Amino acid sequence: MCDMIHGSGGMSVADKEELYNSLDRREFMGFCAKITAALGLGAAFIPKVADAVEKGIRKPSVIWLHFAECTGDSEAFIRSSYPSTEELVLNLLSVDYHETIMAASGDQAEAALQQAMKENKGKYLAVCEGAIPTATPPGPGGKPGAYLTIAGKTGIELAREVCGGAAAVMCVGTCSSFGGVQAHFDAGQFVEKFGDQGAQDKWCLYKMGCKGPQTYHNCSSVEYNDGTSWPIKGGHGCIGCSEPAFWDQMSPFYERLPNITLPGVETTADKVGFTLVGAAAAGAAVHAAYSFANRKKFDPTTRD
Amino acid sequence: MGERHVIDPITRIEGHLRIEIEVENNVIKDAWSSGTLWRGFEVFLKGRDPRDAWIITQRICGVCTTVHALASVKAVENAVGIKIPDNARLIRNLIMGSQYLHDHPVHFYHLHALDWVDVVSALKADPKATSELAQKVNPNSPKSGTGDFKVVQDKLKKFVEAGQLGPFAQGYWGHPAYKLPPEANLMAVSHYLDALALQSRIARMHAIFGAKNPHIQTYTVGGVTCVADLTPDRIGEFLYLLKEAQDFINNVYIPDVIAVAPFYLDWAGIGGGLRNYMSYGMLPGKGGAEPDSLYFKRGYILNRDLSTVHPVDEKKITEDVAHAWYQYSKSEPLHPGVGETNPWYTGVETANNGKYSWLKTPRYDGHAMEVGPLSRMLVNYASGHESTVENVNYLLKTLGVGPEVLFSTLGRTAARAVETKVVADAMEGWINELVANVKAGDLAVCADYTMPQSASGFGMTEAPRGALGHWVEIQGGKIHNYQCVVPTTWNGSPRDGKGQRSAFEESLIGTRLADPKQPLEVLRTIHSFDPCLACSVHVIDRDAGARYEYKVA
Repeated sequence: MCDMIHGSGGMSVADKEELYNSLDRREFMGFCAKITAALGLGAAFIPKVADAVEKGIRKPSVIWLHFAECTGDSEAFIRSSYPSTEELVLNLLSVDYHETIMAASGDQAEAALQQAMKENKGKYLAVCEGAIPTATPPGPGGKPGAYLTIAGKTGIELAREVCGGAAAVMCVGTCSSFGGVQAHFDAGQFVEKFGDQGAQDKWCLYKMGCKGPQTYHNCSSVEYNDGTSWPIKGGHGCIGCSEPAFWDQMSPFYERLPNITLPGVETTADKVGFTLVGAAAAGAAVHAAYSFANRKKFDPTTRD
Repeated sequence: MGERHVIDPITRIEGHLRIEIEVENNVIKDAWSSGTLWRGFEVFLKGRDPRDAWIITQRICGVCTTVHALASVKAVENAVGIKIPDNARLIRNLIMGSQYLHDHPVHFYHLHALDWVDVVSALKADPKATSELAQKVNPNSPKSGTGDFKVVQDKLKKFVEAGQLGPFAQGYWGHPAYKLPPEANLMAVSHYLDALALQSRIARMHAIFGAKNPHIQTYTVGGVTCVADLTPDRIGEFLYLLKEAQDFINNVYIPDVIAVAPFYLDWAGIGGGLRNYMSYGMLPGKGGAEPDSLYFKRGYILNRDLSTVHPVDEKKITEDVAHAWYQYSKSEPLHPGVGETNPWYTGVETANNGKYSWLKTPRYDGHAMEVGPLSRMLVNYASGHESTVENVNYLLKTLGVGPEVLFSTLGRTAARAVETKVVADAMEGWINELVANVKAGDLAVCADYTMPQSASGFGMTEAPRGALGHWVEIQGGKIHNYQCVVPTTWNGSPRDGKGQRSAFEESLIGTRLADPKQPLEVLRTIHSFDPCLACSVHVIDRDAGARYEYKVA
């Protein structure tokens, strides 16, 4: 059934309504799972997407906001393979505002934003990429959040304006994460130096600073870029790049984790990981643009 | 004094850019370019392990991701005095090469094309005539049958009829500056979609030797880590994807430039701007010596004089904050190695010759420089770089024009396409070298070294958008100061203390607008530089510390 939805891009609104109505709950959730995955969100967000889709029979309107960011999440978004980016942009979503890909600039871009908000009030998905500066820069023009302005508005003002009317506010960058057991750990087979025989034989990178034992991402099973690779396969330790505040929690990246006994440490490694999730909760707030919407409170324990 | 117009946000770029223009009788008389985000990103670096810097700086940008990683490991290796193994050089060249194969087509089709292609006009095209056009431009054009274009047009029709235009809403459709016939527009829309699918495949090239993309994770100070990927099947997979990319570049990208350019030849005389072009060079050859072994040469050209390529001395690079939202403790511009970054926000003061951007203003020996694909192609063309000369001449001959047309908006866009082909062709050579090393049993990927207590160094390379330099100072084995001077800082910065405009601003002067309220012509020229603002609004300050960290609610 989902494959039928794949091919349904050119349907009229009425046809689409009928199709959505003909879906049973399970199929509908599968459809929502696709959209959710394409937005780089974990499974916990599927119900929120479903909620947003159910509120409108049109393609879900997406308003994607860029704050203090590098566009890496947008780049990852356009690497989508299943569904393809073309299908996402033309058939599954109505990407009404996304500064990286939209045709309009300046006044016309602002008009597109206002139009999308007005026409989809309470129904659109607000996707936030990047952090929102709130500090006040020194100088006579300083005011809270002035480190970022778009069309003269600060990031805070923009977030308040857009997120309030959204069906859901989503922050790309907080990824799902799962535990991973390093295969060569128990056997005491470690890479001692990048490129050595152990590295050629794909041994454990723990001694090279790998943070795998305390991270919860699923890249080992999914593998990046359409199943091509992931850091351990590339011979480099995990740096916990999807973990909250990894730049502080996981660095120095090339120093081994403290307090792990060798070998036979699976339970210990698990405990370290569990504790870290709690410790990093404060850091996770970096991505918590939720608070601007005053709708949902960020809760790191719901990360899947 | 003419009337002022503000375009904010400039979209289809990376980051946050505001352009203000002064227009008299529909002609741009003056321009101001503002970066409107300050990230304070590099503040994180101070006090860190120098080995970690590349992982942090790579996250300055998710578009030209790997370039900061490379500049950073090079800077630390330069400071420590490390010579990397030959395999590491080759892997880094291949990863950089695939960055170009990804970045340039995405810019042309997904960021720049809508400045030239009227999507709505494509609805009126005759699929049969479109097929004839495509095959006339290139008999080997893939997916160029009547049925292929009809499928795309039907898809487009249904999309428009559904009433939700998504990213195409509020575009400048029907603007008089769009000159392509409906068939050329349909062909371009079709290739927009093909390129969208292709770029996802090209990103896999990064993932093969880089473990993932956008942000790779196999570099390390001393070399690379991906030794287990030096196998026939991995190298073969990479080669297969390279062939796929080359097929697209040779049979779609270059032919599209040749097909579209004749309709916009007036743009070969618009948007030239500055007359100075600089390239740091990149892609080291056997032995790794810089700049001598670099595949793309290091040098600069003054006053469009292609007869002389001057050598670059990094000591002559300075940054000025006369019109940037910072204050210096001294009045003169500073070398990045001793740079200061004290934010001082005034709001936009374009009306009274004050400060108006978060970008500092870099200068080379006092000269404003354009950087990017055009500068690289010009420096290499003028240096007699064989592949560049051959491909530039082919394009010029096919279009029936001389090299003087390169100094323009169209020239920038054409240079990017030519460069993509030159880089792709060079990659075959590095794959062969890698295979030869592996066959000979050489699997060395990372050099040994000891991190000194104090050292300083720099790493220079070329991002797709132009010259990129990182400067690092190590004290007590930790990072004491770190500076990046990046391409869009060169091109998109505010004017300097002497009132000299940088490339974006200068390139807009004299451009005629059909309708100042629909500033399509401004977008054309600004997009021809492929702006990347996230890269440009970097800063590090030896004194700032956590004072400027973002507070996030």
